[in-house]
Amino acid sequence: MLCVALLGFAVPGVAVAHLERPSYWPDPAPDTSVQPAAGGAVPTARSLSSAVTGKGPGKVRVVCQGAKGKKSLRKAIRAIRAARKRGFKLRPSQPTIRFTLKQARRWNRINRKLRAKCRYSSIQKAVDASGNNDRIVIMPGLYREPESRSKPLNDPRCNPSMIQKDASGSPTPSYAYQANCPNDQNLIYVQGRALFGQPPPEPLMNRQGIPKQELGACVRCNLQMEGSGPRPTDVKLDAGKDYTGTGPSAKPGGHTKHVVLRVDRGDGFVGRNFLMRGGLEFGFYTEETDGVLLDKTKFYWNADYGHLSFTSDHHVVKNCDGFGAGDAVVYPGAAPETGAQATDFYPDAPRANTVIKQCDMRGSGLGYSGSMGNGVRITNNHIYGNSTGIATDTLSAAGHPGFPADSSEIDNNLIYSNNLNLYRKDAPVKPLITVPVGTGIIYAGINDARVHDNWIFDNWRDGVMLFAVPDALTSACSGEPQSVKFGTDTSCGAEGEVLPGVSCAGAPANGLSTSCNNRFYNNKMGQVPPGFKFPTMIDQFGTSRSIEAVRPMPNGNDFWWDEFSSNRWNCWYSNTGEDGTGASVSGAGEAGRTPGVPPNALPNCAGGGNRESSVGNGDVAKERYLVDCSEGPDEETGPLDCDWWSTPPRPGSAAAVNNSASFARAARRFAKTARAQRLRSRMADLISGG
Amino acid sequence: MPVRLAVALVGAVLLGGCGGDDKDPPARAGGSAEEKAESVGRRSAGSVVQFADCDDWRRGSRAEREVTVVELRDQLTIQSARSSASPLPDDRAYEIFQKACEPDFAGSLRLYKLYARAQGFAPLNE
Repeated sequence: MLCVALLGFAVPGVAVAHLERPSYWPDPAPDTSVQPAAGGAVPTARSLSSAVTGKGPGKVRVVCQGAKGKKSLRKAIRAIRAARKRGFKLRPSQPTIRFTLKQARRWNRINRKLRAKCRYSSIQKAVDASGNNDRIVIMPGLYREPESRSKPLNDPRCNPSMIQKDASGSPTPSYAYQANCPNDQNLIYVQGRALFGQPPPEPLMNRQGIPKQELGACVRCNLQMEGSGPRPTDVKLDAGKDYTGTGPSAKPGGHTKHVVLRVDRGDGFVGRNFLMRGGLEFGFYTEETDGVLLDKTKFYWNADYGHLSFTSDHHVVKNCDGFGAGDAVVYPGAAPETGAQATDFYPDAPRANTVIKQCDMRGSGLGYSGSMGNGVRITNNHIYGNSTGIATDTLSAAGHPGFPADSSEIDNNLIYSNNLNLYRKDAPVKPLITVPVGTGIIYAGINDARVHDNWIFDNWRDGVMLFAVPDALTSACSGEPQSVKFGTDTSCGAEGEVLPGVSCAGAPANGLSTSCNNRFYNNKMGQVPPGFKFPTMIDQFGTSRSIEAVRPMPNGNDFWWDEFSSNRWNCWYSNTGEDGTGASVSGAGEAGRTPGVPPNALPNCAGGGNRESSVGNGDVAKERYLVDCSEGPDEETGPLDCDWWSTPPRPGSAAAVNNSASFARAARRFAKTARAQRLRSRMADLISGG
Repeated sequence: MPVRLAVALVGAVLLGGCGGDDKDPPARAGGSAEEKAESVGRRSAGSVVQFADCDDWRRGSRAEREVTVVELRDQLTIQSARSSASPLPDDRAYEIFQKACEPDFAGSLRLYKLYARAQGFAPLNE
């Protein structure tokens, strides 16, 4: 038995998104030890029909239910018939897809042939039997994986002997833990690489490349797993229990496993056309993987995240749909440094390492979230009916390699009606996080990001928020050790090296590395696309929203910027507001001169051509507000106290106008107080590195 | 377990006299509360940090909550060879949890997520 109870002395292994082993970005080059090579690019899905013909590399294993697959085939035929007669929506915002007669016959033929090939009733068993390039086809059914469920949590075979400890002695499950006890935490576990060697005794500061001393050979690389029903919901991978209601959207009263499907170092993985439901933590989870394609997957009622990728590269999630997450539906965390901080480890940088596209992210605390979401592109999605639509942050930095977050791109999305108040008794989804109800996008400490060509409307607090996060959780090997300020004696941060390319002046030495060089342009704020209709599922949990017939649908405020002192190169240009002109864009931006009084001009940077003209001068009222919000909910209700925990009044209403004026008055008063002066001093100290 | 006991003792030293509900009962019968207290919440792979939430916090005794703050800090802050200090003092973190966990709706809020955010802005706080 492999014992990895290690005591490191530099870096904790904790990922704030999840307690996890010290995690490394995989080598982005393809692994040519298998043919075709694994990783190095987003994998291409093989067609379902080729699973029947056997064309292409690898063996095909079919999983089904009932005697000789009878039950699965019956379900398949019923689903195909429904797809022909009534059609179905791949995701709620999209038009109905209706099968032609030819398509229906073809799907019938494929499923009948698959039935004949079926040898498995357990997905886990099919995975265990699979090797590189193999495929698993899952016929329609509800897969509860009873054998996996029966495996103990904190299995004494692995716990504590395979716990990997960090500097403080904080325990995390090692790769060996997952490989030896695959169903301790996971309903279905895909071990991509063989166990090999030992992790370094101390986690490496350089997170580029999984250490060779622990990197085993591919054993399940290029694995493809897919459902054979016409709809993703025909194949349900289910870790929940005690359901209320029936059907794919039924709500679990409890959870049996932390993760529904975990793919660990499984380079070249393709998951297609199934639902992952009822995880105590995540529906889908991948870590240290190069090359992951998820297509037509759904994430329902996973208590923390629907999808979570961590330190993974060449990753695409498309045509997805999810709701019921207490944190976020989709979460690419600790994404590789393929953007502004890329080194020659990524010779093809800058590039997006993760793309989330054509998804509906809804009915959750957050539609999308990603701490250290470097180089992630979010494009062509519908993000609606959450408390907040999108959050990318550095707030939970410790343990997330990749500080500071940079080079996110959010473009061509519809981001609307994110006014779901989960901060009430008996909320339909239990919130795990604290975010501002009524907000489209939050950028909490990001650099070099682009937000453009989106429709952002009907978010009753703010369309887009941008603010700085001091480097309190981090420090830099490459600069002055920040931690000295807080009494520690280390010279490196919790999250590994801070790589070159930090965009804020004086960073990282001065402890202010975030919220610089971000651009917001060509966005349509408060305007509704022609022909737009709310998806019916927007009302699933009763989010506040505008009436469909009403145009425009303004945000409470379009752009909110904290104007943090010294933050530079943030530019807003070519955006249009609710009346279709630039003049109607709202946002508090005149750095410090009229604190808290929207609307006024945000730095336009001469249409983006002169970024030097944008420097934050500090706005103590906004900073005081942020500090108050950082401490979570409380009972204080003053005008500058945090009000994130309730639905804002409808934009344009008397209450909304009153709130805004009240904040502005309070902000002006506060600016003259001794407390404000002390806050200015603290900000000045931070900037000077004191 | 020796590690937990050490954490509990460290917690007792660091947090002695800080805020909290003085009416809370001792964590365990037999021996001092500090010696026996364990962190609140569901333990997974040796740690409560991933799952401990406000419901757990409310159920915990004062000593258990104090130990929880120490475990969160150990896991979520800058680490070094000999210490793990935070810009967010433990007694302040305790106070924040007491307030944040009070509302009806707060039961499911994860403590580590609250902690990380409060810690992020702590250098600006009074």
